Amino acid sequence: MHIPDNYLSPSTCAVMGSAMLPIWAVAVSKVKKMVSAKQIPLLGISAAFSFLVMMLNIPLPGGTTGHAVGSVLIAILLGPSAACLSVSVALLIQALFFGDGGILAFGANCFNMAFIMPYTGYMIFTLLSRLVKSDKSKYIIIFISAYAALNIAAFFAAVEFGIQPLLFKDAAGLPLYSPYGLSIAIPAMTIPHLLVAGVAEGLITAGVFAFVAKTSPGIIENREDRTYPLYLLLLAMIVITPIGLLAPGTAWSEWGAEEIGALVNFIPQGMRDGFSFKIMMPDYTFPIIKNETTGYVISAIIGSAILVIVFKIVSEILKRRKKDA
Amino acid sequence: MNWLYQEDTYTPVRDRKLYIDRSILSILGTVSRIRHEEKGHRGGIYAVSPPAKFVCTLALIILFSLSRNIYFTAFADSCAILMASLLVMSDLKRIAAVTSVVILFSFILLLPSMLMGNIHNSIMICMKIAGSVLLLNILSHSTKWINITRSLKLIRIPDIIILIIDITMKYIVILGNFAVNMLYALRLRSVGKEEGKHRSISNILGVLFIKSKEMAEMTYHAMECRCFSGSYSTQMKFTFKARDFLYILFILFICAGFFLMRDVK
Repeated sequence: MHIPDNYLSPSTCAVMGSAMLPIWAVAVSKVKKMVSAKQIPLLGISAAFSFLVMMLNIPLPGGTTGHAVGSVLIAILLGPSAACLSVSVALLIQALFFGDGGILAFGANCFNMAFIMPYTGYMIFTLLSRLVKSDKSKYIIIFISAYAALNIAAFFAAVEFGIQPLLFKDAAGLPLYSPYGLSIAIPAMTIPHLLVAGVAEGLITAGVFAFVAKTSPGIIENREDRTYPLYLLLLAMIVITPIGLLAPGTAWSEWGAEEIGALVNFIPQGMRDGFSFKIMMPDYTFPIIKNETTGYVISAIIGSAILVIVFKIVSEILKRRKKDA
Repeated sequence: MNWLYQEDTYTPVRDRKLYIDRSILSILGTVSRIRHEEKGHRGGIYAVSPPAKFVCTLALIILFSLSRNIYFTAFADSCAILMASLLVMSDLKRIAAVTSVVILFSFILLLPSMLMGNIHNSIMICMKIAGSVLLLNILSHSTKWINITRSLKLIRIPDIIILIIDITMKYIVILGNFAVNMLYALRLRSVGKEEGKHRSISNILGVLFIKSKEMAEMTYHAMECRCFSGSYSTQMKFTFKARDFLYILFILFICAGFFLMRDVK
């Protein structure tokens, strides 16, 4: 899943790099809050562990081998923030000294393997752990978390590859960077991960957890236990919002009167003479910002902010009512 | 007691245990690469100031990525080959092997696209990848890694992260040797068909994790004994000699090519 340089456009690399900056800042501050100076050698050595996890070959069906990423394993054992930093350092060393994964694509690689994978894996793990409490089912939960997280990360990598030919073309209309669109990149990346690599990652993650839980249970009990799944989900949604722009046409059943007319050669009278509501951002665009993509992203951010504020107000009212009662 | 006199006819079932051999090879390769670079380097391109080399390499990789002109890509590739020719033979061989594998892999990956008619851009991607990999390898083979991590300060990486990277490098060797010993032990003990391959590798990783946790504790105590309080500052020496000037001039020559060849069709 290590993306080399020049498969992604410089602008994609810049966007992914800048998306990682606040994530690293939050991860550093969370890790610092936990044990301050004590975390520093732990992070360094965990990064070495993460590096070696990616080096160790695991047996795959047919006598071949592959390697695990181990992000979910470290997230479950040490917390997602520590996993984010450790895997980032391991990826930096791989890119800088071993040429595995590009320098410019470092942000994209970190986004997939050091952010999406540990945080989603940890989120699935905590959500499922709340639902199922028995000890034996814990290993199944860990398997599912690692399997799902690796596949989600592979899907993100596939989308990053797949949007290149749609966004960056030369004068003749030929792709400048990764030439395969979403219809090729997504199955090419996800099918091997769904069938083989995900299963291996899940087995290794559950196996290592089981071993550590049996031989050194003290380590398992001192985990960082809080995540913000809703905020993470929102962030992921904002990031993947522009993908919607790639699909031609309007969303199904969201046609305007003119589009209905073009589709069925007839505009129902109620729609023609009906009430037309003038909104602030028609078609998710602003009067000042002409670029559709920028408008779309800003709309996503504003929309999410309004949703968060509304949820906060509602929860505040509910809390007050509870207090009064 | 009859069984003692019977001839042993046990022949173990053949089983492919590629994962053990490949793991040993990849870890040993990494460990030896880190150890090799700790040995002293010679003059020439090896002696150029590390911060200058780091920034120039980064700038050239960005130019490669920005370039949409095959002439500049070919020109920069040839300049990278010229730079590689200044390395000693052992480094040159290793870099040639790595770069050719990367080119071959990219070529195979882009072959369907070429067959669909996108020949020009696919060849350019291969050339760009070759150039970037070559430049990065020249940097990592001609510079002490500790000096490269110090140079990260130039792109505003905090000192504490640089310390974490340095600790990681040291412990890749220590934990790597530990993992290799466990893999050797596993190979010696596994005779015939091995059923629980995933369990074996999980156990090795489990032991490795517990060992890392213990080592982190011990390292922290050792650091605390030496008055470590959480703050750390790195010193970056920046001396400017004639060879640095020549190196930067050469890189500026390549950068000029980017702007001059922009409109060449």
